[in-house]
Amino acid sequence: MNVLFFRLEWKQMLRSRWMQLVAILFVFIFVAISLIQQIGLPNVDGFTRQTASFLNLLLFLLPLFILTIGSMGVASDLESGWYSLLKTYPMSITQYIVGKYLALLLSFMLILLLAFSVVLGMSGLAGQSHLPTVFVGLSIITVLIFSALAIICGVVAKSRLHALALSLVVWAFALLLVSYTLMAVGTLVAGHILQKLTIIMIHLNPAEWIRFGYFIFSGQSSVLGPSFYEFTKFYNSPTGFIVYGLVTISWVVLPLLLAGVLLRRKEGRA
Amino acid sequence: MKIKWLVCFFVVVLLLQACGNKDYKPRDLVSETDVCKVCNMSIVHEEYAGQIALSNGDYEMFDDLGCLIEYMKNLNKKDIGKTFIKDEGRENWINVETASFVYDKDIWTPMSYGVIAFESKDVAQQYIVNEGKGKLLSYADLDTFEWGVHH
Amino acid sequence: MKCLWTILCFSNLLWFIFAMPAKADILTLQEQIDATPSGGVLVLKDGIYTGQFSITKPITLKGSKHTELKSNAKESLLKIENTQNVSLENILISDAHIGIVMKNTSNVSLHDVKLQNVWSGVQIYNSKDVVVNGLTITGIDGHYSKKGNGLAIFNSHNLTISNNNFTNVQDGFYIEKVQAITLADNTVKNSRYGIHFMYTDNALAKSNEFNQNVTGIMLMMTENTQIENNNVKEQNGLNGAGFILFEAKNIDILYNHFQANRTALSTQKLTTSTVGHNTFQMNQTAVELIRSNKENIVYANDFVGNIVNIRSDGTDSSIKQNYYDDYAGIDIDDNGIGERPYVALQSFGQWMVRQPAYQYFIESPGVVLLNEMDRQTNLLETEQLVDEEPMMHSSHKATIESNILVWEVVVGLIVLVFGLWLWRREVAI
Repeated sequence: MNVLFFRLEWKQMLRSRWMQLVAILFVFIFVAISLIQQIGLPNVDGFTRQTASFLNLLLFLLPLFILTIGSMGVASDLESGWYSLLKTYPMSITQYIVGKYLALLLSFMLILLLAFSVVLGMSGLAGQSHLPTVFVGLSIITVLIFSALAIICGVVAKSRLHALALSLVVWAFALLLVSYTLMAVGTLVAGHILQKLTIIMIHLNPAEWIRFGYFIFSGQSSVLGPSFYEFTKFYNSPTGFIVYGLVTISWVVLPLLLAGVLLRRKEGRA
Repeated sequence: MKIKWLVCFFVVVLLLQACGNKDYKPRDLVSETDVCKVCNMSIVHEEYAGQIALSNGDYEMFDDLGCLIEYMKNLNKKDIGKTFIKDEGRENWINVETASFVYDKDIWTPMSYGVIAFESKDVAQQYIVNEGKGKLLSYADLDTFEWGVHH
Repeated sequence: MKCLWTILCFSNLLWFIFAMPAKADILTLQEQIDATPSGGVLVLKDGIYTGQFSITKPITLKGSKHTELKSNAKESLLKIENTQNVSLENILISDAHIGIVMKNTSNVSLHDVKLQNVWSGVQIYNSKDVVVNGLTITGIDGHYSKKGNGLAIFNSHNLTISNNNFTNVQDGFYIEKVQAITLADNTVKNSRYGIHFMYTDNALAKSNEFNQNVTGIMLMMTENTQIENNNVKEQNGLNGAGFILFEAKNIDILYNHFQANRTALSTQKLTTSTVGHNTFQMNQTAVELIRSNKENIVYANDFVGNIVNIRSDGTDSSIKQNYYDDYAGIDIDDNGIGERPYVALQSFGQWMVRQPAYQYFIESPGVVLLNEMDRQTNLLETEQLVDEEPMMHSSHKATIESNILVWEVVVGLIVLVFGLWLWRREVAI
């Protein structure tokens, strides 16, 4: 890996006003949520509206910012000629992609670190809830997966604006449109088909994959109901955990590999 | 690109739809999850359980013959693939429409409806003789049978 | 009957053969029972009594500190038949298939009887005027479909069942064709149903506690029953529910507390019943009214922190003066009632009723957005699940202790400062 390039990227990331704003926003939201959580309701272990809203916020906001910032970063490199300049140095395409990915990944990890440290401090002050470890883990998985998706969006895009549009489309599909389509299809087909399609969708949609991870790792898989009993039973077994890990890794590795291939092809054309 | 995706999606849907087996077979009970569709009771007395294989490939499970018959009454004929009930005193599933039934108020079933099923008329008759009680019913009789408590 | 006697005699004989050498000097328990006159009191000494026993006359059986009855038979350990005025006190029964069976009895009481490692605890048939107090039952391990009921009662009337404590059984209390029964201050945990009413009339269940069962109270084909002040927590398994009422009439569900259940209260084919002054807190679904409920009223309940408050498949039950924590209206005339109706109808809630696989989407990002849209369009809804007089304030008071956890604050601060320092350092050139 080209350390110099990575350090340059990482510094640029942290210097950008946009990132600093995102950091403040996240800290603010996490504080607000953890405060609301502690008002008036007992600390129940289980899937409640409070845990659901925390999960949803994570799923809505984190991918949105990672996708837009990450993809626009790559697209602007390509558009402005910065990438061509970089290519005059002894640096391979793989090094470029890995450097970009790591810089994006680590700067969002830093934001998460800040946000969760504030949550920890706040919950200590209120003295009742403990740090939601499952959410910390899921945030990390979210950053890992969506950073990779952001890179590929940036590589595919023709311009910065295109990258923005593309990442918004990906975001909307992952978070909303796929599940709406499935819900609509569900009104037409038999229950067992809806159940199978949902299982397929869970694996093909990174946002749902992370959400599903919440139910598995928090021991709340019964929330998904009797029709997913066999399915959740598998993912609660040791083999299931390994499969979960493998699928998660392939959600990181495959987009990055594909991004490399596409970038190479793009260069060949240019 | 998107259109291709959608097409793929619907092809998968259609394939899955087509996969629904047309020679309806009873499925095994899963005691962790199966509850009666009508009365919501979890099925713990497997020897009285019933099920309907719907024509779209779904299964509905029942804890008692009475619940099954009630659910059938509200279904369209074309939605019903085949209906099954456990054979009295044996492990196997039998077709409700060809089975014979015995009613007695002292026969306990999960919903206390007091009707049990037999593979054939002879076996049912034999049961009545052996036990010294009970009334023989046919599938057609069940339609007009008054389900509920019989003191 | 003859056959039974043979078995009884035979088992006694067996008992003689195996147990006699150890306690040759004392009479067997059955002999002691037989020797006690009608109306007499038999005090059992400490020790283990093995075998099967039966009581057919009015006596009082009192245990000492370590009196234990045991049986390995595939039948009941103690039978009380065709008699009245029998009382059992302070006895431990262990390792039996069925602990106690009562048939055709009246005026029987059980006090402080403890049963452990039994398939089923106590069964009562065709009896009246029975009192059961302080019964403790611990069932066998394994799935609930392989166990018997804790206390099963058939065709009986006038029973008072209180201060009992059951774990690991199928149904804690199975009550079939019973008239006039009171169940108070009982606790049922880790079982299938807490109380299972079938064809029962005139029952009262109050101040009971249900915890981590499949269903707290399963009430079927039952009439004229009060269910009050029960504490219903964490019925959150795959088919978990606080209460399920099925084909019931004139049921009052008042002042119960439901917390963290999968579905707190599900009613099907319920008529002329009331659900009032209950607290529904942090359940996945609080109230479900399905399959043509008629003339029921849901009033003055508190809905706090539930994912779905009320859902139905089209019902003409009325909903009024409840408190909903997600109600967004205001109270201009300051009478404690919001000016705008509260509409509990949610498209997703309605779908969920129809197709179990939709459960996956519960409170998913898409559904949350959908609910928000519902809230806007629903303002026009006047027919289904509308509360015209939503309360502005909850009657339930939150009490939470808080003591500062210093280490969490310190660690949080240190990590925060470190993060900020790192950021600054990296930004500087």
